[in-house]
Amino acid sequence: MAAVTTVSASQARPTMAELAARRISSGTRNNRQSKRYSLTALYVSMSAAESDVEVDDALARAQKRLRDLKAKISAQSKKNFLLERDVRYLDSRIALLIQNKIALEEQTEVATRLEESEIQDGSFPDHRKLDGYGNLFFLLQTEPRYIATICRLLSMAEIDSFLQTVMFTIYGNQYEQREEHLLLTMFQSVLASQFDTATEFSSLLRANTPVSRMMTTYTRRGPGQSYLKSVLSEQINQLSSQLDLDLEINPLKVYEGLYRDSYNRANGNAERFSIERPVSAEDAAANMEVLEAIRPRVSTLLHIANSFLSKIIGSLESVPYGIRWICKQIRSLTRRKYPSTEDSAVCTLIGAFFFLRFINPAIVTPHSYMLVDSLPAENPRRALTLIAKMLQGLANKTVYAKEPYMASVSAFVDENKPRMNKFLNDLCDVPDFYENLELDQYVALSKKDIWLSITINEIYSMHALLEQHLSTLAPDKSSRLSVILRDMGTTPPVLPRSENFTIRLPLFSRFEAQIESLGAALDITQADVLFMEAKSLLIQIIRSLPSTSPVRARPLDLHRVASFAAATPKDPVLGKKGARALELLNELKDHYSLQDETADIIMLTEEVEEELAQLGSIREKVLVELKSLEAVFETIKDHNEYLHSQLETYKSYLRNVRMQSGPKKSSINDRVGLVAIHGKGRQEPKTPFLGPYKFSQQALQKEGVIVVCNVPQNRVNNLFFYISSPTPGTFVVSLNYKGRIRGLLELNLKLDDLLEMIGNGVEVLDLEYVVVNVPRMLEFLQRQFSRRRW
Amino acid sequence: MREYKVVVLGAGGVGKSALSVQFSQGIFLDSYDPTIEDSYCKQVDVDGRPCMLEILDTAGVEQFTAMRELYIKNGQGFLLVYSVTDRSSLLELSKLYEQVCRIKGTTTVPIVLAGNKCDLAHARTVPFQEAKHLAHKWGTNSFYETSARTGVHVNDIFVDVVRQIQRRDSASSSSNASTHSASRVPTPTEKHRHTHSAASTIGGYETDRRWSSKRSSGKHSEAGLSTTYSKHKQKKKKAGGLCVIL
Repeated sequence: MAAVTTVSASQARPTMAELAARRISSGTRNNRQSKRYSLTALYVSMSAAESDVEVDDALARAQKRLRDLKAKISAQSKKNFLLERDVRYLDSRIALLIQNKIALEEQTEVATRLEESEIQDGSFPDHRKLDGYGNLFFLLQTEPRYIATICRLLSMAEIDSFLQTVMFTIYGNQYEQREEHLLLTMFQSVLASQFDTATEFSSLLRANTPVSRMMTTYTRRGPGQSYLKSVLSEQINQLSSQLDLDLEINPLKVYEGLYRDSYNRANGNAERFSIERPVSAEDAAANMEVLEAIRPRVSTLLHIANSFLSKIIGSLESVPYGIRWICKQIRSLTRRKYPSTEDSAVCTLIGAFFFLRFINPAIVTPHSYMLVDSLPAENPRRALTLIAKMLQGLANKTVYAKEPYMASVSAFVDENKPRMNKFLNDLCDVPDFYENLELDQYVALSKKDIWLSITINEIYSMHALLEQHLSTLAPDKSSRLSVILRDMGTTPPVLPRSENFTIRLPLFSRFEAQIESLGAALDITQADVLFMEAKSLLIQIIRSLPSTSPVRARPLDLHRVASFAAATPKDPVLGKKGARALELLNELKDHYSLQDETADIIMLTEEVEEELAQLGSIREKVLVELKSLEAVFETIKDHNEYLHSQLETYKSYLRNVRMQSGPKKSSINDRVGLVAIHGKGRQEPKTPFLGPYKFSQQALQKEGVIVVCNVPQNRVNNLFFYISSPTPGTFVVSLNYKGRIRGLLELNLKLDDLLEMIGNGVEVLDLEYVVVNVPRMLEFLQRQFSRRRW
Repeated sequence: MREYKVVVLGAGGVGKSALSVQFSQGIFLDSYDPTIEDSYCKQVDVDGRPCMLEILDTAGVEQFTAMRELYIKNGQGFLLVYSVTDRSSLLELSKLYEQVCRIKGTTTVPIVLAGNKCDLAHARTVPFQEAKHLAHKWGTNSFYETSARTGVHVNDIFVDVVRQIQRRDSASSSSNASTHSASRVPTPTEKHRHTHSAASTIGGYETDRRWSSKRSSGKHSEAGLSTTYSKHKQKKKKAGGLCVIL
């Protein structure tokens, strides 16, 4: 509840004074300290980049590597998302091409999609427009409710490209706190509206909606991936390697397995069969041999499932913040809408997100989450599915009405239910970020270099969506969104893919003045600024000194540290810093009366020591994070290669098809026609010659390929066809009569031509002896040859 | 007894499990328990012949779609289920249909379209005709509105898909007679029954054949109609020099 009010407050944009007042009043006992605390955060977030450059110790280097890596992961995962979309698109188009449902123009579209390389960089010629879009995207980024509203209005078909722009462009820096928090605020808004529109508790979060797609996309960003890898990959890989470990516990399947074994042993000798088949599920479940086989499997399954669960529960602290925060939202929204809901029912909903949509898909299909290299073999796959089913049963209160045999592992649910519910509740136990977000927002206003790397078509598509839904998004004509859109005019049409380009779009707000002095805006006294600067400078100095240096000994004497640095002639940078630190310490002294000064220096010393103590553990953490992110980056790169190889496959196929079709100027008669049977073959040496395969006239008639046969009934049985495919996309059909050495006729067919005939509404082709249905013919040829070909 | 592998596909929460369980066990599941992968067996008589249905109930939750490819490869007939109370669940089926056709390499896959939850009249958002139209687009009449709660048409959808599998099998077994029988290794069941009761097996085959020939003669007459209709076009084609008779 509180969360929601804070969001709306931040949307209403409090004035600087209000913000500062709120911040200060929140510290009840020691105003200055609390103000300083939040200022530290501010200072760090503002100058994170600069301060790292100045210090060059192990921590700084590790942090720099981490930052670079994060940037690379963000960029690479966007590329992968785009590639994946292309692969998905081509996959379906090529499928249609195979089924010959695709129009010729569309083939060209497919071709351009394939041939187009990386999108080029470009610049937007019109500065006024550029400014307008800079304003528009700043508004979209900082006021997530617009995006949230559009999300609800879109259909599943439109959502993918929209999410691409939202998750990988507008909030594309996956590791930047401000963008992450804005994105989560957007989630919250969409989730809340889903709760509002839900008619009953049981229908919550069930269907595939834009929200579920959003969640999937979110869990697939860098942090989610690295979590799954750290928590699951070891156990999944171990299980995947045990090819002979059959853990099937469905009695019917076990029975079949036993039957197969017994059949193999008996070597075809029916007398030696110990069991009969088929049987009903009940009979199988009552069979002693089956029960014997199942018993040890159940205990193995329980053991493995428990080890998965322990690993997951133990990973609580490494679950990405955003995912835990979504769990928290689900819990608070449920409690708000259905106050009387039992805790276990709330847990079910949290489980429906965390297990059903995040953990279990990775267990069942680890290859698509890059946890293993390929689809696991039959036995491991079944074992993983059973583990996921058990976890699902635990997260949801499963009734065994569906599959009675699953009751044999019910012990898992009974033993772990309290543990599981505690874990699901613990997941929700994360702090909110609204305070930080406000601060970040103001930092953003003071920064002069926020920009997006965005394609011109992403801009135009977003513009078009906003225009289309403006009346819902901003009914008030004087709202910022309305004003900006009115000034922008109508949306330009989307460019052809080949002309699309990426621009650097600087973001700013024309409605708020850039904040020149944050200090003034936040009501910070001169003394506060001095304090912060001194602290950060002293920490930098100490970090750049060798750890054996006597001045680093505790308790710290800040004056001594500063003087020591100032007196280092070999290192002018350090010397300068030392001199500046001394100045600051003196200035601080001037600012306060004597007793205040000591108090202040003591506080400063304490804070510096505290910070230094933390740095050691920070370094450890950074190194751990580095290691896991490097692994993530590797897998993302692997996946990228895999996607590229898939695109290559499509390319070569399409090239083949187009090569066959020849120049477009030739008329249909030149290409679909009958040629002399001993005429020149059109074999391409590179691809295998398939066929000829023999088909009877009746067979083709049954397939609907032949619609009329003009051969007398008594001779029909002697009529047969040879069909071959010299190269992909070309087919040679020859009509033969039993007893005659030479064929009656030979027909040379090309994929493109047949497509064109269908496109022109040509339904049948008269071959004198028989009349052929063109669409059926095509479908038949493809069915016969596509499998053999690929 | 012949076994039929039926795969139930569709969006999350449309009632795939409810239909499968109602059919196989005669129970209505009213609590929601998202499926990951379940399987059910049920023996039914179709046109007087006993059939064993092996029903694979799949996850509707989109995060599991990576498994679909495998399911479709292994399945013989498909129930595509949506909910009459959720338009988007019907829209999702078009993609699914394309995927089935692509993996099977043909558009003549045994498929039944089922609009579940038809008992919830007050919540209906998908008109009967809209789905009927989609079925037509797929070239099938096998469309039913079902209710796992009341049991309406639950048996019919499964029986329909079995009939379609039988029809397709008998068509391909007689058409591909030469290649098919050579490549096909008899299943243990068949061998087993050959040794035990050869007579009944042969009887079974005979019924198949009778049935399929009836079917093909039906097609023949349809084809006849379309020929007369297209005579004019053919004339033109011939004039274009399409045919060279040797």
